[in-house]
Order: sequence, then C-alpha cells, then structure tokens
Amino acid sequence: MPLIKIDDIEFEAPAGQNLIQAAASVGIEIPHYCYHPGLSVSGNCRMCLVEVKGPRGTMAQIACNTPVADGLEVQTQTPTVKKMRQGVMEFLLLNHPIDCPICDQAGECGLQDYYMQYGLYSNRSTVPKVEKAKVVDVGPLVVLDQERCILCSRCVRFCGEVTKTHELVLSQRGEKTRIETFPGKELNNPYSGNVVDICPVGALTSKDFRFKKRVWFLKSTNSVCMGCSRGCNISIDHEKTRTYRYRPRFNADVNQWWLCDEGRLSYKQLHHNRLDSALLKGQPTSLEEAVKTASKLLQDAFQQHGREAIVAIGSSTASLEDNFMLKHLLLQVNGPETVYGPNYDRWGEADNLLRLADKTPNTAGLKLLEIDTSADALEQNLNSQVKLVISLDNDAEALRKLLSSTQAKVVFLGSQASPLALGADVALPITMHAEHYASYVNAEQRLQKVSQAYFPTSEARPGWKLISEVFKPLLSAPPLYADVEDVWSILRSKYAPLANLTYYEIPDEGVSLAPKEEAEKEAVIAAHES
Amino acid sequence: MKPVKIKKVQREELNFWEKTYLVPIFQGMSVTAKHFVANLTGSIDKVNVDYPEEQKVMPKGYRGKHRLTQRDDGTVKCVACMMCATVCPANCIHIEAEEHENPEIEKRPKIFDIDLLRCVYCGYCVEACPCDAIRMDSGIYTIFAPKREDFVIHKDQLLQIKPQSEFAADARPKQGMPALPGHSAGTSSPQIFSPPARAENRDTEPMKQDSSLAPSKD
Ligand code: SF4
Ligand code: SF4
Ligand code: SF4
Ligand code: SF4
Ligand code: FES
Repeated sequence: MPLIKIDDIEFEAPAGQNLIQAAASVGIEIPHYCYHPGLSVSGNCRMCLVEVKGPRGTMAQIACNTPVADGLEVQTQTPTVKKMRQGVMEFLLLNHPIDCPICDQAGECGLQDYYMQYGLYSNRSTVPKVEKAKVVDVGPLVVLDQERCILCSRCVRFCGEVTKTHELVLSQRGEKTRIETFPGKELNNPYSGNVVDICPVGALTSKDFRFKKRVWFLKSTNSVCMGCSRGCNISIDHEKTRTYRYRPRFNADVNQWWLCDEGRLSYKQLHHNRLDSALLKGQPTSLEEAVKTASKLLQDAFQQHGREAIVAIGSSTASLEDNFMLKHLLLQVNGPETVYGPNYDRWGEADNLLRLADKTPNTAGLKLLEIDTSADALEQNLNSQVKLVISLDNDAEALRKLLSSTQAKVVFLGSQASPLALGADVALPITMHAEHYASYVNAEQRLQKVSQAYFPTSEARPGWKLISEVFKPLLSAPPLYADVEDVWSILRSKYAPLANLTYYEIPDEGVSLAPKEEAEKEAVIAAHES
Repeated sequence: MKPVKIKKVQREELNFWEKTYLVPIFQGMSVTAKHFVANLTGSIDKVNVDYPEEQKVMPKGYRGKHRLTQRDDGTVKCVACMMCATVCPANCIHIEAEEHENPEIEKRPKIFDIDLLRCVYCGYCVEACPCDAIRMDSGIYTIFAPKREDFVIHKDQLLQIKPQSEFAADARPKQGMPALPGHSAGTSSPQIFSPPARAENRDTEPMKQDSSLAPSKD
C-alpha cells in the first residue's frame, strides 16, 4: 500500500483511494461539495483544493481527483489552502440568494457549515445577483431552486450513473448555468428522492418534507426500512413521538448510500391508521382486560378441543422476536408445531438497484424460524376443527375472508386498525419499528436491528411482550422477559445461525447469517477432489 | 473542650425622644403629606395615572405584548423561519409553516401562536428574527384574559396589534444587508423579503400551488 503523508501524519493508504478518503481515514476532513463517494469524480467545485508537493514544488491540487501514490506529501491546513477555500466560498456565494430563513436545507447545508470555517464575512460584490427560477416543480418528490444551486452536478451524475434515467441537465453557460430537467421530462424515477440527500445545498429539497420541520429540531435513530425485503439502512428523523422523514444510512452491503422513494415515504405508516387501543370485537377496552380475554380464549380452546383446534399465523411484517415468541410459547404449552406466515398481498415492483418484489421486511426471518410461509398450507389446515386463530400482524384481506368462512375465534396482535383487527374477537396493539428494539432478516440473510426512537404514544407494546402475557396463565413456570435481550437468550439457543450472538452485539450494519462463501467454495472444491 | 470566650457588647442607649418614636413617625408622615398636598393642588407632575382610563406611556425599549409586523400590502412579514421559536427560552412560540403563493416569498406561517402565560418577556424572539417580523414595541403591559386559552394569542391577533404611537415611526432600526461603500447603511431590506418584480428573468414556470404541498393537517 502506498505510504503517504498528510499534514505530518505518515500512513499507508489503500491504493485506489483519493486524498479525501485517505485523509478521512486519519481524521482529517477535506471540505468538498461535488465529490460523493457513490458517484464518479467531477472535480468542478474546487472546494477540496490542497497543497501537494511534487517535482516542480508545492502546487494546489484538488484532493478528490488525486489518487494516493507512494511518497505523496499533502498539506491541508496551510494559510494558502485556507485562503483558497475562502476564495472558492466567495465565488460559490457570489450569486447565492441566502434564503436560509425559508430554506429547508438550513441546519444541514454545506454552504452554511463551511462558511463558519472559511467564510469571508463581508461582501465585496457591487453588482446585482443573477436571478434564476425559484420553486420549480421538477418531479413528484422534489422541488428545485435554481438560485441556490452551486452547480456541483451531483444530481446530474446520480441520474446518469445510478438510476441511468438522465432527467437532469446543466443547461446554458457561465453565470447563467442552471439545473433543469430535459424538455418534457420529469424527475420521476423510483429513486428520485436521493437527489435531495446528495444535493449539498438547498437547491433540491423534498416536497414531502417541505416546511414541515426545521431540521435542528429532529433527532436521528438508526433503523431499517420496512418497505421491502431489501432492508435498506435508514435514519429515522423524529421530533418527540412523530417521525418526519427517513434518510438512507450508508451500508456497503445493503443499500450503499441510497433509498427508494417508496421506502422513503413509508414513514407515513407509523402514523397512519394505527391500532392504538385494545379492542374486544371492535370495542375499545383496557389492555389488561383484552389480554385476559385472549388468555381465556386460548385456555378454553386448549381444554375443550385440544391442540388441533389452534392455528397460529405469524407475519413477515413483524420482527424476528415477535414471530419467535409466538412459535416458542406455542411449543412450550404443547400447542401446534407449525406456525404459518403467508404473505398474501404485499408484493410489488422490483428492479436491479434496490427494490425487491417482496414488500415485507422479514420473510427470511420466518424461514429462519421455520415458519411455513405457503398460503396453501394454511388454507388446508384452516378447517372446521379450528376453534381459535392467533394472528400476529397478519391482516391481509385474503386472510380475513378465509377466517370469516370458519367459525374460529380470532385473537389479533397488530399495529394497524385493519378490518381484521376491527372484526377480531380480541385485538391487541403492538409497536412498530420506530417504537421498539427488534431485529429483522433481509432477503440476503442479513440480520439487522432497529432501535427504539420513541415510546409509543398509545397502549401499544412490543409483540413478544403481549404474546408472553397472553400465554402466561398456561405456562407452569412463566418465564420473565424483561427486554429484548432476554428474548435473545432463548432465541440464540434454538437456532444455529444465531448462536454466539446477543442482541446488543448485532453491529449497526447488521451481520450476514448466510453460510460464508469461502466455506461454500471450499466445500465444493473438497467435493471435487475427493 | 475549649472554654467559650464571651465578649460583652455595649448597646447604645436611646434617649427620651427616641424612646417615644414620635419624631421618626412625623418625619415619615411629612413626606407622604407633602406628596398628598402636591398631588391635590397639582403643583408637581403627577406620579400616578388614572388607570385604566389613562394608560402609561412606556419608555423606548420596553418589552410589551408581541406583535407581528406587516408587509406594505398588509400581509404577514414573517416567513416562518422558526428562529424565534428556536431561541425562545420558554418554548412558548408555536409556528406551522405553509407555502406562499408568491414564489419570491415562498413561505409564511399558517399558525403563529404565542403563549403569553409562558412567555418571560425576554425579547430574544425580537433579537433572533431575521426579517424584523416580530416586535415587542406595542407598549401593552396589561395582559389579561378571562380564560387560560385566551392567553395564547394567534397570528391574526398578533397582526392587529399596533406599535405604541410614540414609536410608530420606527422603534428599532430596520435590518438589512451589510452596507456597501457608497450605499446608505442598513435601510434597505434584504432582497428576498421585499423582492422587486423580476418575473421577466424567469424562463421556467414556477411551481403551481398544489394541495399535496401544503403541510398535512395532523
Ligand atoms: S442552500 Fe444553504 S446557504 Fe443557501 S439558502 Fe439554503 S441553507 Fe442558506
Ligand atoms: S441541484 Fe444540488 S446537487 Fe444538483 S448541481 Fe445544484 S447543488 Fe449540485
Ligand atoms: S419574549 Fe422571550 S419568552 Fe417571550 S416569546 Fe419572545 S423569546 Fe419567548
Ligand atoms: S424569527 Fe421572525 S420570520 Fe422567523 S418565524 Fe419568528 S417571527 Fe417569523
Ligand atoms: S470535491 Fe474536489 S473539486 Fe469538488
């Protein structure tokens, strides 16, 4: 690896890195606008100028387009470098409208941030600013303000290189240069929201988030998108108990820097049509009362009809812990061995970037728990013998129809006030991903955890907690599950891929549960050789 | 244990007149009486006013009830930037923003509430406002209402409040861009807040008012 020296720190940087990346790896920040690790290098903003020692003496070079090379000596903090940064900032702000009071980017704006360090703090310009169009509707999710744009071309490169849809273009020349959509085109690809994240200034802002909150009021919690089985890593941005937006969180193995628009808007589920109190046949009641009723239904079904009379249905929308608790406690009380978990209606579009057809986050988790996900198997077993159905967050319309044709009582634990919840004999409200600690397994066998952003505003409790409450009277020695770590202490002992893991040790970027590829290859080779 | 040392202090003895307490009483009464007579005869400027028929004129800089200033056309000047709500130590300003039909202005408050019961009249909101949209120069020092909820005043009420007549001209220098050489200092408002007509410079249609853009109700 090349040995380089940045600001008197000598270190080996992996070949192929540029100076911005290399400097970041030793904690030196080189300010930049147009460089984005997920896009090609464009080198137009000049904010990343540093001094590099070369054969012809010390020269200014842009760090984003300078690959590390053996013996490179770089200075990032000299007075010259600072002066260059100040000069670049002055140019960038020459025609900038300084809309900060009305600009949604304020608080997370590249111009504001670097101005604090490298600003000139006075205005030398005596000519009026160039005026361009404001509040331009470029697509269903994005609003453009041409005046605020610093022409870094990140958005253009995103549409060219990542989505390959080419909607945006830098048109005209000189001070008249502006971002525009091609005539007759709209920025409406399924990943358009990402340009809002990568735009370093407030030129591209989100229509959905527009004027809803100033960003400094928001707190971020690491989580995972529930939009599809890719399980893209996200930050939940919330104030108190309300989520305002999702932003993608970098994960090299899952979503890189991106998030699809569908997932981005799926935060709305957290506040839409929630089941926020326990229901007895659609009538609100206290949680204790409902849990007691559910326990009684379960006890009666067991005593009067035996284990065949009970069918349990999990769901790939619920967490690994919730599904596990359902399966585990059923086995504890000698209930049915099979838990079903078909995904009826949550299917949608897929492409080869991120989106997958299975729009539930935890199908692989059900497979791991050996839950039967075929709809046919459930249909065959839902016969007239069945007296009680427990459904964990599975509220598909198809299931409701199927249940209404049987005489079985229904205990529903879920997060949405769906027709099934309203019609169930007992409905218990459970938390969603922003409100609990839990884990999900994505389509690539990656176990990922979500963190609690805030406490539920309603009576909702984590699903595993309510399930253990319901089963409590049936167990001779009720186990005490105080938190998710207690659930994990049993969970990991039952499933080989989870052995050696504890909940709090799951890293932020998740762990792959798939058998190691090397091991696979070796096995294949060994098979050949023998 | 060490023996405690006791030091005796000699108290001053009061003389005969002092023991009667009459002299200080009459001295004090004479001050009151002097003001009483002066007020009756009107020989000095009156100290008290006939409140509430007569209102006291508050000095310049007095932080009274808030008001929202208006643009030339009478609409609200505030652009809902939330600087005041952010800086407010009592957390008593509640603002919700909405789209302004004029893309030059872009943003305005849909809801602007101040809870006067929580307000500590520190004046930070006035200092923080980049648009000179909120002021406390109304000179109103009596805040009363029959119900708790009525102490929360809303945008339309705040817009109605007038500055105390003495400060009507200007209670506070208008904020503007930093002065350029050869320009008069600090008198022009920043461009974006009172923009000149410049539609001729556009070659892209501004976004239409769209109900999906309005912040949702919940
Ligand atoms: S882009 Fe940044 S500097 Fe420009 S108006 Fe928006 S917040 Fe202010
Ligand atoms: S709109 Fe944003 S991302 Fe696109 S060129 Fe302008 S500043 Fe860069
Ligand atoms: S005067 Fe102080 S406490 Fe009252 S609204 Fe303004 S900032 Fe808040
Ligand atoms: S600081 Fe001024 S412009 Fe901003 S929200 Fe408050 S009153 Fe309105
Ligand atoms: S980041 Fe290097 S030139 Fe823009």
